[in-house]
Amino acid sequence: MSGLTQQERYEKGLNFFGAIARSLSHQLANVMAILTELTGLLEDLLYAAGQGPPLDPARVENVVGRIGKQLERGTSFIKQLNRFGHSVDHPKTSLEAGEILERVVGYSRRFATLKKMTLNHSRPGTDIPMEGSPFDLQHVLYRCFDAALSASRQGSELAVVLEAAEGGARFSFSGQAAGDSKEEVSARLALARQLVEGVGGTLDSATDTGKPIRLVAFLPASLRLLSADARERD
Amino acid sequence: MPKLRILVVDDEEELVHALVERLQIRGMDADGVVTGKEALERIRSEKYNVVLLDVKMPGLGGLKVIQEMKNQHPCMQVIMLTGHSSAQDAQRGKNLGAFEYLQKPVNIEDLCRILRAAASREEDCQE
Repeated sequence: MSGLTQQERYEKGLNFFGAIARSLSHQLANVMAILTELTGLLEDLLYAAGQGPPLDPARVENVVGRIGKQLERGTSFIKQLNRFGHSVDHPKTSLEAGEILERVVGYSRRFATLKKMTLNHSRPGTDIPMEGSPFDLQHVLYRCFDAALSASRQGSELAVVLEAAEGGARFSFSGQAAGDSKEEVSARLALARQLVEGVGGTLDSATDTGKPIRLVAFLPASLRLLSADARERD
Repeated sequence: MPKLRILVVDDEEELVHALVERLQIRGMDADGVVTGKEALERIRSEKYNVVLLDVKMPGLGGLKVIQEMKNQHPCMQVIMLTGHSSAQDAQRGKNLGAFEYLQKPVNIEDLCRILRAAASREEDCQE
């Protein structure tokens, strides 16, 4: 149905799962490293106060505030990781396009940062209901982000706009060319297209060098099942 | 004895701040930057005994930075720092001349011991 065999769809899904788990756990490891240093810094300040000059309350307050920010950041990564793990629980469920977009923007932000790019997104004020596998929808959108990031120039901005469309939802990605090599962009774009078509949607793209890049994915409100493992559970 | 001059390089700005503060408390002259590009610019204008360098950074990666640093200042020592255990990166870094490879989080006393050992090698090299 999507130009990919069942085995290939399974492998691509597994590859996506691994990429997100690695990325989130890497960020969590960074938070833990920062917390280690900040709590160590508090110990250093307390130790120094016992040796000579009195403890500076403002400095302690500053470090405690920084610890609080990292705890919030770490909690957000744990929530994302947990929610992502649960996205394979139900192969067919009610979805809200905007909420899933927010999740994928969250996962993709680090990949954009690695390319020194910024991600901006907008969604309508009202919900866009969909039905299907949350894992598949995240996977499809992630591959669209991946292709759009690959086509975009380092240091530029990638914007994603979600709109309701007749019978589904439209996700429009726009950025500035040129990014990776033509072959690299073509391969990523081809995979995104195969997956979009696999869930029953369409992908239009313009990624010519020297012109603004544009990817428009239309996804139907009722998504076809993509993941082989999910199909078996259904 | 002059203070050890340490440059901390990591894309996690808060980690850089915290490490710099902790090294300063321990009597080192430490400062930090958040990109490989900034690190290369900094070592052109300032002299450091040791650079503590994150391997995985956006833009110019740690391994390229080591290569460039060693070209500019062969005696300056580089300690690689990473959140992952990557034996391959460790070996590549060592082949490029890195002094040591450490996994985050690092015990601060262990880090100081390794920084002093690296600084000692740098001093021997200068002689």
